[in-house]
Amino acid sequence: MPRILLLSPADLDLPENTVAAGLADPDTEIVHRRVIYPSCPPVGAHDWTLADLAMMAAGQNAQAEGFDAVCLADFGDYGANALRSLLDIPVVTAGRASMLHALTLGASFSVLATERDYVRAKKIVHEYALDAQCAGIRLFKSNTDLVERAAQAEVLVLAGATQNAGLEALNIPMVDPLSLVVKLAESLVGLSLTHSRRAYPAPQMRKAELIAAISSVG
Amino acid sequence: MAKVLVIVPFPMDDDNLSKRKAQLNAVKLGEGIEFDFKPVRIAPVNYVSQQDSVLADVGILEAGLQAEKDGYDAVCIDTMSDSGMSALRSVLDIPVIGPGRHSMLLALTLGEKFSILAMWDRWRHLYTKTIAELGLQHKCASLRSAGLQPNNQSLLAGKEDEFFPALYEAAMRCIEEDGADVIILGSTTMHEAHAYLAERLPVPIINPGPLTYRLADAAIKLKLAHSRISYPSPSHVAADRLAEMGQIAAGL
Repeated sequence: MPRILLLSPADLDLPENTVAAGLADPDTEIVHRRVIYPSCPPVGAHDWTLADLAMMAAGQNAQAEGFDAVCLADFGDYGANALRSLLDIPVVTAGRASMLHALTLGASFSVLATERDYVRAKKIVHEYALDAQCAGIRLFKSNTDLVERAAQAEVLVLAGATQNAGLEALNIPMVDPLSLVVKLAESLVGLSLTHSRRAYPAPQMRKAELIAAISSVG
Repeated sequence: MAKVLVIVPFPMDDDNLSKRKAQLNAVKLGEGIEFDFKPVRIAPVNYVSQQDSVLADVGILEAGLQAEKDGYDAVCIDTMSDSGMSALRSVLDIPVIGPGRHSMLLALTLGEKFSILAMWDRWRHLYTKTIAELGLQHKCASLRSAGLQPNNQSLLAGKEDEFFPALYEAAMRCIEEDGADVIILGSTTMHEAHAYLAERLPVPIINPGPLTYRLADAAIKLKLAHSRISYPSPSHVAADRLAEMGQIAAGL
């Protein structure tokens, strides 16, 4: 029975049972924990650094707790690389996974983001070297003219809280990162696959206690 | 019960088809999904030239054309070349999963760079095509082969002692000399070597066929198929013509 730890940012206030019924395999157990970022919303580098720490602290013991995979629901992928360095189990992250998965469905993708994730989305698109495949990052403020602009995308990635943007009428694939990370985590567990230690080497000395202590400040 | 059609890219008898079906044993699948394996009728003898690629595209298109009408919920293509994937996506609304494209993109969720480990160099063009389509040349550490003649019917049977160590050596060169974080098996026909390599290599190694089965399941549950903008529908589907071509090829 795969046990998945789902970490979501508290400011998005996702419901406890945020994964749609019937989406996960019947024997999958999902434990959803909300993670409070010290500086919110995470719109700049200062906030991102603290979000990295918060996510790392929330997930660092996942393996010891008996989880088979960790899913990070925040499109910003905060703490993702750090958690991969600390854990042997798969760490599936909303931003990276959803943009790469979008390229299985079309030649390019657009990201629909709120102001919360807009700058971060630009950063991670570049960091993952997907500039050429990303047709654009659209700022979602209201539905005004959005439908027309979004319709130019081959595939739309719905970052952050844009899942309910009312775009269902568009006849294009829309990747919901949260649902996707759960299915990919199950897939990786089912295939006995996890991240590469070449890309994410373990630290020479773990600092679990320090991480727990400094992240509990406040 | 969800039904997935796995298109096997060569005509073959039941014995050899069972070697392809054995890929199902390499992955834990959720409940409520079943896989039917169907060999094509139109095929080249192997995949080493552009002639072969065209024949493969046509053969796989013909084999999968009716999949949606036949009640399938998704199609997997059992070749890393992704032959026929684009053509089938243009006519089907159900997900069509090609192991080449999907394994490269999944590899980039596990590491920064991947290498593709092939049996022989004559498969190089299969990978360079997909890598170029994805625009991910800078993410591919290398394409390496073990210099072994493949057999797309009997696969690796009886040659394990010679082939497995040779594949391991080539994989280690991908890691140590080329900087690969992740290795992708260059063919679904190499699946019998996966467990041997996975036990010994210091990095993840993707078994592309079983990966497609999980991703088909995910696509069905997520209700997520390809973009019609990327894969526009034809003005006319040449169904009768393709069926006739299949009958002719089967009779040759």
